[in-house]
Amino acid sequence: MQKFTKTAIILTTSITLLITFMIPVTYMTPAHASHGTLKTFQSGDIQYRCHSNLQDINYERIIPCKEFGKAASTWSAAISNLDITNASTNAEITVFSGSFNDKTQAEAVPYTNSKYADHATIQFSTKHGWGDNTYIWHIFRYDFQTVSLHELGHVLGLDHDANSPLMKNSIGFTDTQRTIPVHDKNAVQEKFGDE
Amino acid sequence: MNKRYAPLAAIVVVAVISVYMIGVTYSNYCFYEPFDDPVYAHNTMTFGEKHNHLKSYPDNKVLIERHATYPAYSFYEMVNMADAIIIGNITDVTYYEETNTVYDITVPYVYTMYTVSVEKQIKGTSMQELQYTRMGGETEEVHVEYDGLTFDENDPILLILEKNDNLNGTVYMPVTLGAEYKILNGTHVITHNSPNTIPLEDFTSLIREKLDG
Repeated sequence: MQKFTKTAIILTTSITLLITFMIPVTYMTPAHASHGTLKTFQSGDIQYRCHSNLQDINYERIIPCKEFGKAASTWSAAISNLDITNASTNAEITVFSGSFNDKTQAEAVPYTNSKYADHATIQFSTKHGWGDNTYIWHIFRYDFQTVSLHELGHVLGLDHDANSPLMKNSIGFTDTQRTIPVHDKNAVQEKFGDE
Repeated sequence: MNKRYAPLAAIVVVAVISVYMIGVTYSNYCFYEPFDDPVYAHNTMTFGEKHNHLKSYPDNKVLIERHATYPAYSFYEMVNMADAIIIGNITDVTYYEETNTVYDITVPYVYTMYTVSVEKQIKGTSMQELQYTRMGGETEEVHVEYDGLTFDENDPILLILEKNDNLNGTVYMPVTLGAEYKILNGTHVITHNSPNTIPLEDFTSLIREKLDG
């Protein structure tokens, strides 16, 4: 029994130390140049719609459109004057799936010829496996919510940034980013104005 | 007394956490109401015809900036996944376009097809020439920009390629973003996201080392 108590104390201390270490690591953002260089919508009142073929991707333990909605809510909560909501028609952003003739995981394309985006598409590849990295048995799948946050970042005006854990242009199986790094948040907030 | 019940308490805590995690996982999965089936808007117009109002790029083209993510692989993974690693020269550059219609949105896919004369085969079946494709390029109506290097005819290159199953396996594609290298002065290589050049000899030795390892 003494052995059990000792193990419990060691385990609790280790977890506390780990959490104490992880908090600053998670919230520290390295200083780097602004990457909010892309065009975005004029208004922060943005709607998206998911095409039913989004369910054609290879996924496990997620509902793709619901996961995308969580990413939209994360962005909406982080930025003043931004509200990204689901709509059945006339949405600015169309989310769907398809097969690329290369290894692309996903892409965001804002279409424009003026100062602001006219409409945008976000496409997820049917060639890759998708899932939820927070699920304990999740292996060899890309985190759908992380990639959704990333693609929405593009639609909101962010370019790729090797120093951003969210906006880097290569995403691995173990990459999970469910929050908006401060630097990315500030760059998008600048586009939609302060409250 | 307390010590006696400690293992039981631990088991109860673990059981409660497990039930909670299973609940969280499956509640997302089971209780979601799928959206209604959308209406497919069949549309035979090209992207340029459909989006005439977006044309403004020089030569009256639509400029499309693709922002794509690619799988993150280590160099070891890239080398070992590759079906072919070659050094050669670009002999031809062509473009082709496919479109997809989603709701009433026409989505253009512009690809560049490179033909490469192979000078040195580091990995894969020996061949004199190969073709590989990657997204981005230019058609009469659309100019698609993308991350990564672009090559012109006669450019010397080093490529880490996989067979492209979408094109009957006869055409290759880069293993991921950053698997294409331009050779400078015959002695150094450079890739898209690094300002630094690497001596070609060191780079090929590194590839062989990874293949042997």
